[in-house]
Amino acid sequence: MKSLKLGLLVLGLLVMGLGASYAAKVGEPAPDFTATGSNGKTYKLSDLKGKWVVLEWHNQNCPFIKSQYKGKMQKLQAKWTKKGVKWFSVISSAPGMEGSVNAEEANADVKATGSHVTATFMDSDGTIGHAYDAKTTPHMFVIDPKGILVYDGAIDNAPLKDEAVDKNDDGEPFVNYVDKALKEGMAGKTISTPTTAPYGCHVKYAK
Amino acid sequence: MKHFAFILLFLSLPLWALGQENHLKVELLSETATLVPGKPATFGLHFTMDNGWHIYWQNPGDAGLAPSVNWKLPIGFKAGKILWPLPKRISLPSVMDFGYENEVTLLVPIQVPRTVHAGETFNLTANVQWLVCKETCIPGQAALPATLTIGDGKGPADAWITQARSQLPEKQPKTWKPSGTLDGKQFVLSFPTGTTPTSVVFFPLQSGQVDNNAAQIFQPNDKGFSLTLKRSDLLTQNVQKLEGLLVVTDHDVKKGYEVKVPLSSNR
Repeated sequence: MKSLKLGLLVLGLLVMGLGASYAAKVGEPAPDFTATGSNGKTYKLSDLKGKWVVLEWHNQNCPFIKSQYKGKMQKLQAKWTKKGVKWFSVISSAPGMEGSVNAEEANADVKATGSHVTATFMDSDGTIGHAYDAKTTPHMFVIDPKGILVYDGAIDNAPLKDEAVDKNDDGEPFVNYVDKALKEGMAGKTISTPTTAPYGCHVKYAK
Repeated sequence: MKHFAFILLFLSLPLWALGQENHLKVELLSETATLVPGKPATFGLHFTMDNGWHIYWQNPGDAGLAPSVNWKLPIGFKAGKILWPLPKRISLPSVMDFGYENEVTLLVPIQVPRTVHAGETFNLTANVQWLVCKETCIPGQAALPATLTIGDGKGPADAWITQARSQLPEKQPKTWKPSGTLDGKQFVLSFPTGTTPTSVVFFPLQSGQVDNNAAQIFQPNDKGFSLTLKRSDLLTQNVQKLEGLLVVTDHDVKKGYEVKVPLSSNR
């Protein structure tokens, strides 16, 4: 019986190993990738060890993104990039789908919104998106200086609130989870909310 | 005859107001033409969507946002929470949404105060917000005003509301006593219902517990059936119970049950 269980376990691990070895999971090393920025530069995640990294799934036409970019997102980016955080927006919209832009359009959007991103990653084939299983815009990930994924989820708990609010529609105190994760992480504390369910528009992957 | 039909429509479908937005129309309906003092009345938010567009259930799944309503009510009137008809799984590339396509009527009970009298009229407004999605998502909102008359509450019930009522879930039967296990990979839920339905679908009430996009494995057994659900990667700590909506289809009959399954962890 025990050996059967063990056999099943091994089989299970094998299946997981084959199927999901690249899926991002909090507490484990963040999947490495090489990305092309809309600025023409190439970025490799493993080269950024020693820095805190934020990945923000982005689609400039998504109402949830538009709402964040009425000021809240830029403020958050400015606050943390000043402290040395590398903040990347990732565009995984497939060609022809909503939010699909070329490098020039991505740069124009950064300029128009006053975004403080370090760079915008062009991921039209969805490679990075699928590696992180990014589901929505904005789906947020925080990676610590050791390259460990420490936060995976929503940006906050108040969707489509253009202005800062004290409480969300459910009457809960407002929390920006990325802000909280960075604050706790940089202070050497355990991140108290390492995962939440992301909300927003679907990432517009190729069908 | 045409004239008569027109009047009948107005009497039986108190269609007071219309909010119009791209790809979606929303109407405020009252179940009855008049409201009875001291009794709960039922209102409906009837959404009609363009082909291929959908709105969301209370847990929207992997993306989206549930519709919401803020009522502006006369003093003494009290609105309850939205009652949600059975949703569908709506599959999109890499994500699974829970929601409604084509049309749906969300129901809201409103308590009428005892202190009102027959013949009196009151105004109320439903401020409705929603997100409607296809390949793209469009948020919308509408203020739907209505004038209520107090009376005996008699007359034909609104057909959309009657239909939606038949699609509301029931409480889980006391005899079911479901149980479940949770390990690092999956939930296995056992429902000793004594019946073998054709198919079963589970909709979790909370997001971030079940992997929405994964297949749900339904297995009939001699006591009833079991359902195996993939654990969400976002669930980093074990939970004591799993709450949700179980939609049970037996041949052509579809019924929903609000279930709460206690879990033992065997990690």
